[in-house]
Amino acid sequence: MYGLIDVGDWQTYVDLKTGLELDTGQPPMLAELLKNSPYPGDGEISVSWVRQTAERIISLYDPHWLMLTYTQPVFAQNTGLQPESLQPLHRRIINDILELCRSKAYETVIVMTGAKVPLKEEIINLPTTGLLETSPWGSALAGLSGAVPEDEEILLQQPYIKQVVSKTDILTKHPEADENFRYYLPDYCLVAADGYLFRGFNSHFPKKKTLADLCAASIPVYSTLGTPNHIRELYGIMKNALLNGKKVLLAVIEGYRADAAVPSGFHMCGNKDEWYSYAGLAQYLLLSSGKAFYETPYPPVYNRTKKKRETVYPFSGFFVSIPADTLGDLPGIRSAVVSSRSMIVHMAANADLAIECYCRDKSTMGTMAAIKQALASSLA
Amino acid sequence: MNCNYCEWRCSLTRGEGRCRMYTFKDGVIQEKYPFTWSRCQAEEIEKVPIFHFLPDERILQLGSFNCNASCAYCMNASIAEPQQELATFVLQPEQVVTLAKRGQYKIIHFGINEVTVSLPSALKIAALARQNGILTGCSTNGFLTEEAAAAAAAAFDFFNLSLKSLQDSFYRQHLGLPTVAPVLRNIRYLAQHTHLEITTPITKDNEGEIPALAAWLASVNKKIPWHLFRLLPAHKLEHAAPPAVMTLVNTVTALEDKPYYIYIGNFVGSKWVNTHCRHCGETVITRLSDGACGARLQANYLKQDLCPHCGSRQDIVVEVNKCTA
Ligand code: SF4
Repeated sequence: MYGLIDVGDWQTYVDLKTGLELDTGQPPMLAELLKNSPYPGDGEISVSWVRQTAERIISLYDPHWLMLTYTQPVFAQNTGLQPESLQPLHRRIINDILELCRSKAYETVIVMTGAKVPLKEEIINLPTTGLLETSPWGSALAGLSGAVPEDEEILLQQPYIKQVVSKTDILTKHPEADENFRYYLPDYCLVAADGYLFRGFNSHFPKKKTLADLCAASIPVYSTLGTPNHIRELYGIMKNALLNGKKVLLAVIEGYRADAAVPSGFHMCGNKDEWYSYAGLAQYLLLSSGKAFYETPYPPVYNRTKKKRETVYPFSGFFVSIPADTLGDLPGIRSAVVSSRSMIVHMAANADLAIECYCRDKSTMGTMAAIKQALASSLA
Repeated sequence: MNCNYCEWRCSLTRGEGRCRMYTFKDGVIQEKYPFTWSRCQAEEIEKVPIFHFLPDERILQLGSFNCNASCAYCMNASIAEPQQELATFVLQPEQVVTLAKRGQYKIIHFGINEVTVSLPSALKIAALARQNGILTGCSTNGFLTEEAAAAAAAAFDFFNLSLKSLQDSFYRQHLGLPTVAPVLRNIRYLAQHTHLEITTPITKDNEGEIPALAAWLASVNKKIPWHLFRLLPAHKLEHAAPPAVMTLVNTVTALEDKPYYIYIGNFVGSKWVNTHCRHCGETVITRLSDGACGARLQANYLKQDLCPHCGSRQDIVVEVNKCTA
């Protein structure tokens, strides 16, 4: 997979696996597209960016499978947006998606992820010997690494921890788990009680929050392709539709209020396997490839004290390989992605072409296109 | 009683000082929030950026909060000038060192915000780290007093110092600091006493100063690595455009009087973060810029600290004896 990175006044064309600059020229059409559609930032303005960029891609490439991701509700809530203002934002995004699907004849699947509830408390320190680790933004899911045997009892006594799952239990249940999964899996995975948020080692954003992520057992889904009971079914449903000649648009809208009404036309759909409620990378992989969290190389929580220098896919977050069997990689199916989520989606989808924002911490650094070699050659 | 950690030398008799981190109590200057951090994370040393000291080493990075400056374009304003309550945590020196040992980090780095505002905590951790064979370093704006700079130089093994300009007017207007003079004094001092690398955030307001900055740094020591950051202005200047990449590259290419090692980064995909042997010009270390701050090491071709092409010694610390973790 190749990557074209645009930082505003300068572009570089790289092999996404090595990060090294390619000596072939970038496809001019793609260079123009990035130049003319720079990611405008995480505000509401980028809702239009997703739509406009999708329309450009449809006119350039007419993908059978088109994936769109929206993160604006997450950022809007992080900057204090209240529930009453969130609903119009959601409506606007949903209307945009439905309009696009109507005008371009796509079947529609919309998944709302990243449930949030009012914060009760942040869990910053645990009285354990093991180290509490979570995502940079804080999360309802955390890991404990470097644990000693006494830690388990301490964890079980904490009223704000809903579930404690040991590495041993996970790996006993899934002896076939990938080596990378086993290496990075912490000693314990911890699920916070509703309304509680873990902070800890590697927490980047120290601002106290008003909302907590929720490990949601079910999430709102809209589908013109039938009514799945669990999001794991969506992969098969979309695959069938594509193989039967239909065009399918999958949209993921991140950040909704679990305590608000489910948008009209949506139904609640299972989002949990065993103890784990899908979120982030694992959820994207489940949607795009039908793989459960334990079937991927990426554990739901990382033991980052063991972090090794990444030698492959330096612009692709935790990814160490291109996922196989994705909807983006179905033979004979043209596929594309437009994403306002950085790093994850171009890999999770493994589509022919992906246009994403490129962000680090809180800053938008530019726009990136990921393109399969074959398509790059044909566009050159 | 005046605080002697930075050149504001605030009177603490009736307050907490400009950075709000120190107080005068029981006859001594005390930290208000000792060993209190807003961030503790795993990183690579190149991300600081530090390119010429133990390449490829993992670091345990600690940051506190608040600052003694108020940069208009600050990338970390939510930590340096927090307007809302922060989620902080306490890690005592023993806990930090235990964490470093458990994660097999050879280096603890104080960064994210200005180390000066939590200097006593950082110095105590550095002392305990050294007893345990762990190295320490820090990032600073360099506005320390002479005595604080001396204490820090004795305690830490490396510094990344951010020199923003040579002009007092720039420091006043963009950083809220009265003068650059102590920063320049401290650079001269630190260059003689410890491993020092300099970062200069470049905006459209100081890109014209690159030749003067290069000449001044070269006059101190040409071996000091210099990191030019194409700054994405944030905070009060978030709508300002960053400087153009090729303008920076062309300006640096045209420099005559300059340090040996100039890196241009802080944007994704930068091709100007590799180290070349200053004797034969061959590439000795390649790095990859994934965006914010420094870079990540891609390949290290050094033979110990020698150029694999011409065999000459490189200006890169590849081994520190006291490091045993
Ligand atoms: S560190 Fe500087 S700003 Fe803070 S109290 Fe001391 S003199 Fe004032």
